[in-house]
Parts: sequence; C-alpha cells; structure tokens
Amino acid sequence: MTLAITNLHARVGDEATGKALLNGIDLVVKPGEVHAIMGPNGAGKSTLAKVLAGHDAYAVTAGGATLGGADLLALEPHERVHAGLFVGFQYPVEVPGVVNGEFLRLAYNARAKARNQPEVAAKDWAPKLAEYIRQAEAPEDFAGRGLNAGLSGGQRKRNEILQMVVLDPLVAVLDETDSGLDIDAIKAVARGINAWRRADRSVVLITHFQRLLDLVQPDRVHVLVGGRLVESGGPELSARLEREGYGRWGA
Amino acid sequence: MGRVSTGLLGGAELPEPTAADEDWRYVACAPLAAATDAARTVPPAELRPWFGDDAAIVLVDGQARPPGPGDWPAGLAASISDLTGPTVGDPALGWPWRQGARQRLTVTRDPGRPLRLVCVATGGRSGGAVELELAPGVQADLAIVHVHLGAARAHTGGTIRLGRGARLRVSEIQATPVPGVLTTGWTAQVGQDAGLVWHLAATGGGLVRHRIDVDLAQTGSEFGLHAALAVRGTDQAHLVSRILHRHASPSRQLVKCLLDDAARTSFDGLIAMVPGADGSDADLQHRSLVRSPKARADSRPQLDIRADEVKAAHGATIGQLDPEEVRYLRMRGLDPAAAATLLGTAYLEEVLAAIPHAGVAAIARDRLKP
Repeated sequence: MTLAITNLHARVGDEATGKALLNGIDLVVKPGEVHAIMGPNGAGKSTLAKVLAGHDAYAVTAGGATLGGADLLALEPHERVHAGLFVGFQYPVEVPGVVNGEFLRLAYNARAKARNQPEVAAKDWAPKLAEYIRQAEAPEDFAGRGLNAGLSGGQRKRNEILQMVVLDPLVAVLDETDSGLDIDAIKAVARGINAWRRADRSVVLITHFQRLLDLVQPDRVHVLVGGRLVESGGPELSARLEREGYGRWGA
Repeated sequence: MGRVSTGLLGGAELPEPTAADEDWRYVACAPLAAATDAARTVPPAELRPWFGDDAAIVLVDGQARPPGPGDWPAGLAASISDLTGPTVGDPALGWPWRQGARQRLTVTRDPGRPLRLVCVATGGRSGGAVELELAPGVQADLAIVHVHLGAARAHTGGTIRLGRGARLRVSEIQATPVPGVLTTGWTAQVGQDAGLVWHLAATGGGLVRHRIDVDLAQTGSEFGLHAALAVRGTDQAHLVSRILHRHASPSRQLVKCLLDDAARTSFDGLIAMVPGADGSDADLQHRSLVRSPKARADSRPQLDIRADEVKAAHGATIGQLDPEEVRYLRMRGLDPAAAATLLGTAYLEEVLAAIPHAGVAAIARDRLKP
C-alpha cells in the first residue's frame, strides 16, 4: 500500500490567526520502503505526522494524501487506522484509568471489525497479547499497566511500538520514537521495527539522530525545513547531516 | 428467621421532603408524588438471580420473605430477630413509608462469607429497615442489592453498630433501573479501632437518593466511602454523607459521578470534627464527569472543624472528557462513541475496582457501563 503525499499544505489555528506549518510536501512511500525524515526543531516534522493521523488542531489548506490510492484526508482519524495507517507520537498521551491490555484489545477489535475479521473475546486476549508483547520486545507487565499513565517517557515510546504491532498497519509513521530512550531501549525498539517489517509494510521514521538509522536502515532520507522537503537522498544523506547539521538551509 | 411485623402506621403524620429542605436542595422531588404500580406477589424464582442459592435477607416491598435454600452464615443463624411495635414512619430514616418491616441482626463471629440484603420493590410505597450489630472483633461483608420490578416508592435503611475492633465492608448496588423512587438512609456508629467501608454503585432513576450518617465515636474509628453514580436520560441520583469525628479518627471519601443526556446528580458531604476530635484526619473528594451540556452535577463538600491539630481536606471537580485523550484513542482506531465509553469506564473503575465482593462488582460494572 503506497502512501502518496502531494503538495501538502497545513496550518495550526484558524484562518485569520493560524500559522502555516507545512508548505508543500511531496513524498511517495512504496510498500516495503523505509523513509527517514530529518530536520531542525520547528521544521514541521511532528506536524506532518499529526496531519496524517487526523489531528483536529491542524487544517489542511492545499494538497492531499492518499493511502493505497484512497483519499486519506477524507477519513476520520479512526478510519485512517482501519485503512492501514499508524502514527506513533513523540509525546504519547497519558490516559489515566485505562488499562493498556484492555485498550489494546478494543483497538484490535475495532480494526478487526472494520476488516470483517473475527474479534477477540476478553478471555482469549491474554495469550494473543503476550505474543504481541514478545514481538515488540515490550516489558511483560505492559498488559496490566496504565495507558501511558505512570510510564516513563521511554516506556511510552515502547508502548507505541507495541500498539503498532497490535494494530498491524501497512504504513507506520513514527515520530521521534527514539527520543528519550536509552541505548538498550533504542536497540529493542529497532529490533521491534525490523521484526515487524515486511515486503508490504513501509515505515516513515522521523528522527533527529543517526543512531536509529544505523539500526533501521532507510531506503531514502529526506530533509524537512520550513515545512518543505528541501533535499532527498540515500542513507548517506543522514550521515552528512550528522556531520554538517542544517545550517546550509538557514536553520 | 423469626416472625416479621408489618403495618400501616405513622407515615401520614410525617412531612414529605421537598427541595426546600437543606439536604434535599438538589433533588427534583416531583417523583415523590407520582403514581406507583400496584404491589404484586413475586415468585421465588424471579428473585433467585439476585441471591442464587445463598441465604439472604430478602425484603419484598418492605416485608421479609423466606430466605433462599442455603444455610445461614454460622455466626448469624441464631441472631436474627424481629423488633415488634411500630415499624414504619421512622423520622430517623428520612421520610415516611406506608408498609414495612424492621429486622435486627447480631453477628457474633466472622460469618466467613458475605451477608446479603436484597431489597425488592414491585410497587406501592414500602420501607424496610435493618439493625445490624457486629460484636467486638468481628469482620464481615454485607452486600445490599436493590431490585426494582415496577414503579415503586421504596426506602431501605437502618442502623449499624460496630463493636471495638470490628470491621464491616458494605457493597450497596442498584441492580435494576428504578422507574419510581428509591431512597436509603443508614446511620452507623463505629466503635474504638473499628472500621466501616462503604461501596456504593448507583445508576439513578426517577428519584434515587442515598444518605449515610456515620458517628466515629471512639479513638481509631475509621470510615471509608467509595461511591460511583452513573446516570443518563432524565434520571437523577443523589448522595448525602454526614461524618462526625468525635475522637481522633480517620475518614476517606471518594465520590465519582458520570452524567449523560439530561441526568442530574449531587453529592452533599459534611465532615464535622467536634471538640475532642483532635488528631483526626479526613479527606473528601467529589469528581463529576459531565458528558452532555444538558446534564447537571451539583457538589457541596462541607467542613465543620471545631477540634485542634486535625487534617481535613476536601475537593470538588466538575469536568468534561479530555479532548486530548479522546483524540489519542481515535488515532488508535476507536470511534468517538467507543472512546467515550472506554474513558467513562476507566473513570468509574477507580471506585468499582475497590468493591470487595466480586459478584456484586460484576453487577455494578454491568449496570454502570457507560
């Protein structure tokens, strides 16, 4: 399933006082590919992830995005998940009182129902979730923990990866999943991503650091500055950015 | 189980409550004047779902019925007796009824399994009262289950006395919708180093109002209240608590209300610490989650402190679903209704998870499902 973004413009806030954050992004991610998006703070990386997820604080002002040829932006946020998109957030929201395991079962079942697949009863969920936890290399106690509440920043990122594995998307956009993680956790997350990858699954990694890209080898690297992709290249581009920074684009 | 006395006494002389009464100020009292269904005979099989094969104190329209076929808990068997004389219209229980019974239970040793009080209302105006006394050191659980099988005006309440070191956990739930009126009124006296914990789960009705008065009479007396009121439609549910600290004693209260549609809830809680209650420690928290602009939640936490060196905290919050949480759940595949349901469930779970009786907790979760 191909994710195709065409001349995407978006702003935060209303028309009169809002601020344009995406100023014409073009990007095509084909099945099986890994794309990395790098850029300085405030470049619009997280905005791109949120716009694709359907965050209602952002308004698309021009352009569009399709997933498997269907108009992604016409879908409600939950419908985008059902269509095969997963967006892992830089700052996952704490939801006090919601137990992670039960939330994951409901999310799994919502997706299964949309796909006309069988839902999983509560009594049958524990062994299935245990297998997902193993695949994601998440801590075993995540099933009984709160949904991000009471988790450290690093644990929340690992919980995002667990959610990705459970929801079984075809395109995953991971926004700074590596930030806040210690070295071992980055390796575990990278193993989780690599284990999840398949010929029909693609990943967009938004990151500041080369370290994750050493572990999850990208096919393409893009530089996002001022709401635009200003340069694209192969894996060598990230190494150059690590050495030279973003100064050449005035950032 | 002994003879049950019933009657049609007294009630007519007592005034009806109105919203002008201080502790009825948030209640829409019109249902008190509404017509009720005629009371009817209930076959035992129809009651069985509420207590299975276990023995239970069963009050049907205020009158005691034979218990289920099981054995009574050992510590209770020989202790049940009736009070004779007038049984209705007791001002201490709040307001009058027209038909009812009063039972006295003394628990002399740990029963080993929960006591059950099943209060069934089929129609008419009725009331049932229980006097429960736990001997020193006894530990017991009491499940109170309210079942309404018709439009009735029903009252249940009574007195609870806990001897020194006794422990009682009460789980009180509304097992059915209440098309008419349900009121309760309990007065508890907690002895030295004794503890009373009260769990309440209610979904409201035409008029549902619970009241509990607790006298922490001795040093080390403890009280805890965990209440969940989840109300929708045009139903209403109200809770009043009056906690009196007379010696150094702790109390904790957490009341959570979840409102949809045009529902109404209120919590009116008073913590009083009189001279001599020095060293007491009380906390009262009331939270309301309002999911509809037409719903109304009232809160009235009160402190009356006349003792020294005490801790007394109270707080009340009334809010809506956190849009960030809803958004996050939607971005994980839940539609808006499913997200709201999950958040409502999680909101109440803090209270429901504390219910000690698994069967009662299951009924409560099912009834309070947002």
